[in-house]
Amino acid sequence: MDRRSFLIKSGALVAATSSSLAFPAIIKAYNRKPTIRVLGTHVTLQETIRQRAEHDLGIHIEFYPGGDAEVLFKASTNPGSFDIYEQWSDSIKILKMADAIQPLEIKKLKYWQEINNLSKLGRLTEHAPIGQGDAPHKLLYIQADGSLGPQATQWVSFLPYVHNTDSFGYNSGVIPKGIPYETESWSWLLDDRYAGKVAIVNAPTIGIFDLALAVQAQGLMAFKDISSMTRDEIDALFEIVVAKKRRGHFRGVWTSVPHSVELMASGEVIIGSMFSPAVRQLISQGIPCIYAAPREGYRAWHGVMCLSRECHDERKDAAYAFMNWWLSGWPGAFIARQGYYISNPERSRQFMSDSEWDYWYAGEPAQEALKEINGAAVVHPGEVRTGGSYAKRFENVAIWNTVMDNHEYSLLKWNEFLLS
Amino acid sequence: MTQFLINHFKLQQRINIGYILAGSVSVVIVILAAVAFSSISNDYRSYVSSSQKFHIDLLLTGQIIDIHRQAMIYTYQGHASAADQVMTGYENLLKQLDADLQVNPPKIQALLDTIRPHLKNYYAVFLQVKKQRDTQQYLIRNDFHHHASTIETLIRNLTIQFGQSSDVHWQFESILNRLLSAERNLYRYLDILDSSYVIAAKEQLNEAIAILENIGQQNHVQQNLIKEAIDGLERYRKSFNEVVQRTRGYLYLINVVMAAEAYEILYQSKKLSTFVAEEMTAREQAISAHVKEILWMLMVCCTALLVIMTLITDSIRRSIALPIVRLAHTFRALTEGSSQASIPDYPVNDEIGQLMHAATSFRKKNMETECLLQESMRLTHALESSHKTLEHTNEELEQVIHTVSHDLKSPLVTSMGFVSIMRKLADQGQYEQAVSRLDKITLSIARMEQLISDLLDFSRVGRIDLDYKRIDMNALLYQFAQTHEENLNRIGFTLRIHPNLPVIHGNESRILQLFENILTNAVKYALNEEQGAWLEIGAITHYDHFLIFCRDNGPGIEPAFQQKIFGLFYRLDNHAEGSGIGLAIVKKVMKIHGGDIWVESEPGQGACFWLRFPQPKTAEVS
Repeated sequence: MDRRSFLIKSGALVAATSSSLAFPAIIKAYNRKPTIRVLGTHVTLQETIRQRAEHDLGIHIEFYPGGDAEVLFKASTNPGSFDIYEQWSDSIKILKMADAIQPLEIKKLKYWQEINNLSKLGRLTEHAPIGQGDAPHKLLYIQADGSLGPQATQWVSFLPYVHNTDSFGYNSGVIPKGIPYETESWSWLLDDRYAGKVAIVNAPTIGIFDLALAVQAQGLMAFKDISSMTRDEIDALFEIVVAKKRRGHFRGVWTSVPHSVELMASGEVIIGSMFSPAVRQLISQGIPCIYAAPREGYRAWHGVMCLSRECHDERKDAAYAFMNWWLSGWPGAFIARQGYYISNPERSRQFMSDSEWDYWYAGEPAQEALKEINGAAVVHPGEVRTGGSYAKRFENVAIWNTVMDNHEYSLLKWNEFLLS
Repeated sequence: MTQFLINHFKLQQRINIGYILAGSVSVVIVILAAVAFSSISNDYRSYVSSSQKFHIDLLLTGQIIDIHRQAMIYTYQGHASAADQVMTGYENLLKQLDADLQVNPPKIQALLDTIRPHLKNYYAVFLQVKKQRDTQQYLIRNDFHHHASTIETLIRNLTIQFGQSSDVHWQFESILNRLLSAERNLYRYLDILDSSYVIAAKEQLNEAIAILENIGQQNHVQQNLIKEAIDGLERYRKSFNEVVQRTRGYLYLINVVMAAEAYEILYQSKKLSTFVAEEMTAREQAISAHVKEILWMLMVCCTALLVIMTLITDSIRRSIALPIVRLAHTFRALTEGSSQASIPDYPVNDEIGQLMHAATSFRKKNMETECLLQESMRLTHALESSHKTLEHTNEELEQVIHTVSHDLKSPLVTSMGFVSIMRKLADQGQYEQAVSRLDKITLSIARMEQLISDLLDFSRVGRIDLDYKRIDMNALLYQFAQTHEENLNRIGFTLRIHPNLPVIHGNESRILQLFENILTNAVKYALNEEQGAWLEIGAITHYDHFLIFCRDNGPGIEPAFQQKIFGLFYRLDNHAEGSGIGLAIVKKVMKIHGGDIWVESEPGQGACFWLRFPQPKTAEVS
């Protein structure tokens, strides 16, 4: 038994023990196994996680994964359709405005104190810049007037858990490999050399920033506040990208991680917006996809776990239990192997081998081959994660995913962009 | 081939073969051309059909844009007819897709298969849009309006309950103003889709609730009514939120989800267009290559057939023309009278064969004609020869008459002269002298009698000589020599007869007369006192006749007289004895024996008479 296996088993044992101590009270109280419905994306709604959580918590869990837009729409219009909502921090404003979620009591969040400063203050270190847009801490606390703000209170709008920095992926078999933070640039997305083989994520709250960062990096225009564009700026931005699209620059948009993998694997796309798991999947398929570290900085996102306005009683208790389970260590280690970070990484560290920690968090070369969940080696010995360490990455955040005030207007322009 | 046709087929059959072959080749060429053009036509129809089928990509592009336009019209303007057009357009397009899936090539089917779920998803999302929009409209027209009316009524009631003059009256008016403003902001939001109006409206609603809660806390009356108003405001706010979220929801769906699906359909459609264009280009090239191949094959086949037909028809032509050409040569030769014209072999009994038979008959007639002609020529020649002979004979006869007349006239003139002299002498009475002249007259008459006797003898030669037989000249001349030996010896004349003399066919008495006359002349003229006179007779064979020579050593004969000596009564020496008819008889004897006589001589060198006898025919010799 190697160290990693030992740690995983030990972690599982600890988790199982803790869950057996912590959660049977729910079952006992209601004399039946409660069922919670989790609405979210494929990033976190993975079957392995569900089974593990069910096993650890002794409750029924139903996952309803879907595309970003689909789940956000469902959550904002039908809070009765879910108990827990898992998505990105940019969905919070919409959910809050829709009164689809209810505040979370910090005292019920078991590992709150372990959550790091990135989630609570918007940066990991004192000198790190806070990216533009809705950094997680700006949306985290529920202020006295009911609005969302960075001032700490006893109520939060979401549980900060999974997060990452996003950029674009490119096929280094076609596009010459760049130097992270030096030559790799968002401008590549609009580079004429890659015309016809560029894809953008089909989510205006995300994709619009990829386009804006690319346009800005190309020097085609500048934004007063890229996270809150005016209508004129939106018009100017789309005028540029629509013109590009009409010249056949974009292959299209993708709506899910598998879709983005399929596009690049088929060769139809060689560069485009991408999420970390897609990069790992492509590498495991033998496609030399590189997740770029743009010199302009990343587009960061923070996962949010929210409670439905309609979630009460036993399901609410079970939902809190599921939230706390997420920060209990194993899930953080599990998703770390897919390239994601957890808001209390030190607890997950005990579920990871040194080599895994070095590679995924410390930005050090992998001491051994690291394998995916399915056993495929995705990291070879000596390989260094692009973008460097966890800290390095989050010291280079250009913007956080944000729902702008002109969200509705951007939707119209997005439509124009898609069908141009 | 040509000879084979000639040997095995009749003329009509060959002509018919030529017609049949030409007809067959024409039919085959027509069939090949028909097959080729049918194939090309099929290709063309297939191309046109494919082209029509492949118009699905254009249909897709046009229809999906139109559907999305209608969807946008419905979403932003709420026209129900636009929603109906989306549904109809979707159904038609799906039906078209399903139909095309059945017939199009696999690659196009794969693309259509890719498009189909996007289209279905697009429509499913549209139904959500419709549902959200319908719900939004329902909320606006019913719930929202109802809650607003309810709250307004409650607030009005509270105003009445608290009294128009109370301080809270203005607060209630403020609540109503906020509610009105919130409602106005909602409609503004729905109109220009600016979320700041939502934020403003929510603040106004929150403020209204806060005011009402404050009134409730400060005044302990009408708590139930106040609580009812707060609950109504909450319901109003909930309806407000739902309207906003429904709006945002369908805006997101149509602008992001549906637009992405529509884009994907357009992209796949574009891909389909590219594929179709490539496919059509490839098909066009394949058809072009196929057409070239077919035309090439057609050309090769037609050329081959025409070459074969040409060769065979040429053989047929030659099989017809060659015998006719040969026959023409033959007939040309035959018409020129040739009896040796070659008649080509022609084994078949047809029209040409009949001409060949005719040619054979023609040649036979020519041969007969030629024989007749030769006979005619021979007869003509003989006639000419007879004519010449006759002319010569006539000339000779005239000469004879002249000579006879002249020679016979001479004794008559002499006699008449003496008669005249006698008459004159008688008149003068010199009777004796006159009678003495009678001897002269008698002599002239005797001379005349001799001449007449010689003429009779000359005329008998050949006329009455019917006894022709084989004559051995050796025996004849031996006997001739024996007969004259004594007389010749007496006068000292030598007659030498050479051995190996020929055997001829003739009249023995005349032949003997011939040699008698030659010997007499030799004796008469060839006295040679120095050497002694002699005559030698020998013979040589020359071609188809014998030459007998009679050579003497006499005085010879001047060339001027070598022909004349054979004339009647011609004498080289008038003083010599004889009448000068001997050599004329010799010549006539030679003539009646089909031969000839001539002399070779030089004066003083003797003379040699050559006698040419034809060799006797086998029958004559035997």
